[in-house]
Amino acid sequence: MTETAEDGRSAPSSTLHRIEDGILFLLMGALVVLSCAQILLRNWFDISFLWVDPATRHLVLWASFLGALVASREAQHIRIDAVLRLLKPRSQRIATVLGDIVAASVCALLAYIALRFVADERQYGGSVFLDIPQWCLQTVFPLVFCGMAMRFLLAAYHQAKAEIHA
Amino acid sequence: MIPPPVTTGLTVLLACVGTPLFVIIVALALMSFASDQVDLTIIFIEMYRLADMPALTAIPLFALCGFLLARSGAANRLVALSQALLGWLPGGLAVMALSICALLTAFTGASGMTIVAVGGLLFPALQQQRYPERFSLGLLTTSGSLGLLFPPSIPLIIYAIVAKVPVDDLFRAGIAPGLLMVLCLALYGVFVGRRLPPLPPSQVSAKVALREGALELALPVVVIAGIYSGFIAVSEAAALSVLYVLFVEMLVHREISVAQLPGIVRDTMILVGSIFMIIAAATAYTSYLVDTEVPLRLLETIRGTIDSRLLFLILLNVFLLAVGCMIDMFSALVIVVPLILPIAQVYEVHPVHLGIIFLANLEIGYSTPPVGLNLFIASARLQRPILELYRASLPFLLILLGVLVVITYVPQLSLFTLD
Repeated sequence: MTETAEDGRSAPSSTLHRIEDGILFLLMGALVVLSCAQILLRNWFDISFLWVDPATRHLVLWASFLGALVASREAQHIRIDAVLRLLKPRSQRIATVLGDIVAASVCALLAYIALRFVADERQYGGSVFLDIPQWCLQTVFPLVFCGMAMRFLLAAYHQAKAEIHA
Repeated sequence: MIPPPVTTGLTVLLACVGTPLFVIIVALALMSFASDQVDLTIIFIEMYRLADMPALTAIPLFALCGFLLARSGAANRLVALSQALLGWLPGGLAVMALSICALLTAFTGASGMTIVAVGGLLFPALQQQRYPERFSLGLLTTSGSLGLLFPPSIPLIIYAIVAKVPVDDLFRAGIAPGLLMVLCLALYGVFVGRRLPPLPPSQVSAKVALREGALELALPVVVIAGIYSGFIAVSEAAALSVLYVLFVEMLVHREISVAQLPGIVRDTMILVGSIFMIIAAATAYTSYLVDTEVPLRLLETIRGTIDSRLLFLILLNVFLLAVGCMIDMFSALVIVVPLILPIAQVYEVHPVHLGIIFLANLEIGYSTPPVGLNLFIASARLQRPILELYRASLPFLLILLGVLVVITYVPQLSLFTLD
């Protein structure tokens, strides 16, 4: 992790963030190009490739999970903040630290379960399209949850540190 | 099985400390499966089902369209266009503000993007025209979610996926109820604006304004025509829309540069990623609920206490309005729909009609005090205290509630477009 900013949530210049943004851009670009090419080929040339549909759906899976990882670096996950909004600013910040710690623990547990899931699939699983083994497509789960666990932990750490200093 | 009081208590506690919603849902799923000694990898077997849902592909693509439109000068062009077309009408500015918000929200979903994108533009315009301040504030607050019933809004797609009904049925069904909402608010706008001086003749002629804004105005028409003609599926229409918007904003108007694209894609995927995370988590939890026959037991309880369709619909509205102002629309859809759907079928509510009722309620709940999201977004964007917005949005809410009654008790309004 290369977060350097004070609150640990926004360091837009860091290399890791740029890599994530770049991959997102490539995935979405591929999604648009593949989908449009499929329409063109089918309606004008009467050709359709069977692998395109599963490929686009996996692109969406990867792009959205990666988007969720980015959301955790920007603290933009959807929360039920009805109660949180009624608290005083200081209690709000302390509550957020607790919430982030819970989130980090659950994500870490998920990352571990996801690793086991991928290992299982590697033993039994086949392939969905273009002979790509299914388990490779599923590696997005452990990667993203591991990343999110670290981000939530970092966010809690920075927030707590700022709170103690204040 | 974990007793319900424990799960409810835990959910409330975690929500209070601001734990992200998907974490809460996953935690519930993990504990439930663990207590039944089910291997926890089932969570990912369920999550991987996301890669089997073709309609989901449409969501990131339509969202990208919405973000591209919001970042470009599309709103300015639409304002100029409607000023040229509706300037003569008493209350014309209010009517056009409503139409633009509805059009944009259909593409941006309930992300608050509409208020952020056009609030700063339309509020000064309404003030300059001497609309009462309270009216202008209320209008912009409530129209932040106006247009959710129009295709290709993301909540409509999500409802269709969760309830397993065809997306285009929902796209068709939402049009008339959505128009009724816009029409009723527009009439109120005309009433308020009836004594105000007409707009000064616009700077640009109608012809120029039309030429400038025509390409963006054509987008919804292209999307809807493409889907209904049967040539392309919903997800393909979404991909074409992205290509079209890129062409219009990058090559014709030259307002978005290549360098801006990665940032816009990132912001889009932050929204989509956080929605998908909730869908993934809820898919896992819902499969547990269905396996343990929770909806069935809920149905038995409710059937014993509510004996008429009318009473069911009234209670449904009250319940959904409360849900709509407490939690965001996407979580409400994925969690509540699977529970309510079988119950609604017993009371002979059509699944497509139920979807329209659902979204209309959640749309209104978004602007309902004390915690409707629109109120907070508008408060931040227009820099007004939240209490002022409570009062400002009240007349608009009353009108929308009136429309809600019609939508709920006249199913034909939603269903007449289906075969």
